[in-house]
Amino acid sequence: MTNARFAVTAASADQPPLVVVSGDIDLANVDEFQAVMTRAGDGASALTVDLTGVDYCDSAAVRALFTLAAGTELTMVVRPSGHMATLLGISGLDRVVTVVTRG
Amino acid sequence: MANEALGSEPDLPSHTSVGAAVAPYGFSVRYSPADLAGQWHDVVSLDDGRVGVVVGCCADADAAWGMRAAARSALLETADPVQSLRGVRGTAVSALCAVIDGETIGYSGHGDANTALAAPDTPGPALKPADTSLVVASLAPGATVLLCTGPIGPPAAAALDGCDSVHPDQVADQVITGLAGSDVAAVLYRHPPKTLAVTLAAHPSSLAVSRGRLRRWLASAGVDSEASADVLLAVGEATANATEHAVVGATRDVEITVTADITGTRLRLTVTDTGVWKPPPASSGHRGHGIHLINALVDSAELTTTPEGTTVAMVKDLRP
Repeated sequence: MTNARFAVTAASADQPPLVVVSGDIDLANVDEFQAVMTRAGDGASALTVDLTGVDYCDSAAVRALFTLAAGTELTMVVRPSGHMATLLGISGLDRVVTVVTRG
Repeated sequence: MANEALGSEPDLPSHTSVGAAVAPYGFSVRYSPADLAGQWHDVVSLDDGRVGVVVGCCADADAAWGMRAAARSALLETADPVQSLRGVRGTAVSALCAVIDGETIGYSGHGDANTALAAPDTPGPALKPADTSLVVASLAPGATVLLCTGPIGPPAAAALDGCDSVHPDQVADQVITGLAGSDVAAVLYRHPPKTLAVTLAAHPSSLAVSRGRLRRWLASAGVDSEASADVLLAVGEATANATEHAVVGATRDVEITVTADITGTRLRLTVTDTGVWKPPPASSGHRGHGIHLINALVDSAELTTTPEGTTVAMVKDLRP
């Protein structure tokens, strides 16, 4: 079974809500991924998703992120290289969200 | 096909080991930290997909460059381990030359140079003393070969025992740790493992299982982390696509089979489903990402559909 862990930090005065994701995301748990992000961003105009701890994710996750980016100002934190960076570039997701690299 | 040397020539390094800057696919190269003057290695592509390897030890770095050149030129000319070392036998303290093809390794050496061979499902590495005459051994799928300019003691041999599921770079690190204190150059070679074939129900819960099996197989095949990540994603996309779409409208239980195998430097992957393939809608929107991704991640991808199901066949070239 595909396992991912989510840590959600509520918005503060100067920071949007933050979701830190680790593990794998694919078709099996992408609905959970999307639900967690939607709940975390509910009522906020911006959301930050930290994906530096994600070992595997595919275009199902990219679709979820595109959907989310359509309704909120999305910032993604990713590692500078590796398959997440590849995925962002090929899908064009890096053109509709703010990408911060770290790690 | 023209013979060519693999890897690029580095500038003469400040330390004194001599060899290719980048080891070709399947080979891991290490020098011991003790590293006195004059250890060298070479890995050379020969005709018919054969690869020649030389490790040697001599007086100093200048001599090592000269002997490496002499052994290489003889190897390219004769593809014969015994003849390749003829010119260096008198001057090199120790040297070992091997020629590896799809099924066997033939080698010859002198001095303390030695080799060890570990095969999957076989207890302990076989230590076959190198000799000035030719020794030929068969290579089982997934076998690991160590070529070393010095004796291979018990700690280094232990690193080879049951190592077939461990990435060869990691095995090479453990071997050189086991050889600590001796002054050696070592080349480790991993023969391509048996073809991987995983068949599972076309269900999202199968994705993590087939991904885990493929990830372990890629490590055992010595595929580097960057190429592995590309392949895992390309196969993952093809598998997820089949899981989502092949099941729709199928009147039978749909299964998905993932295969992987390596010939030379070509990594071939297939994802086959037993479902009913539907052409994608004219405007696939974000759903089209899967196909774009696969094309960007591998060197070629081909889709074949029959009444029995659909196969996505992909090739990734593993040249560095």
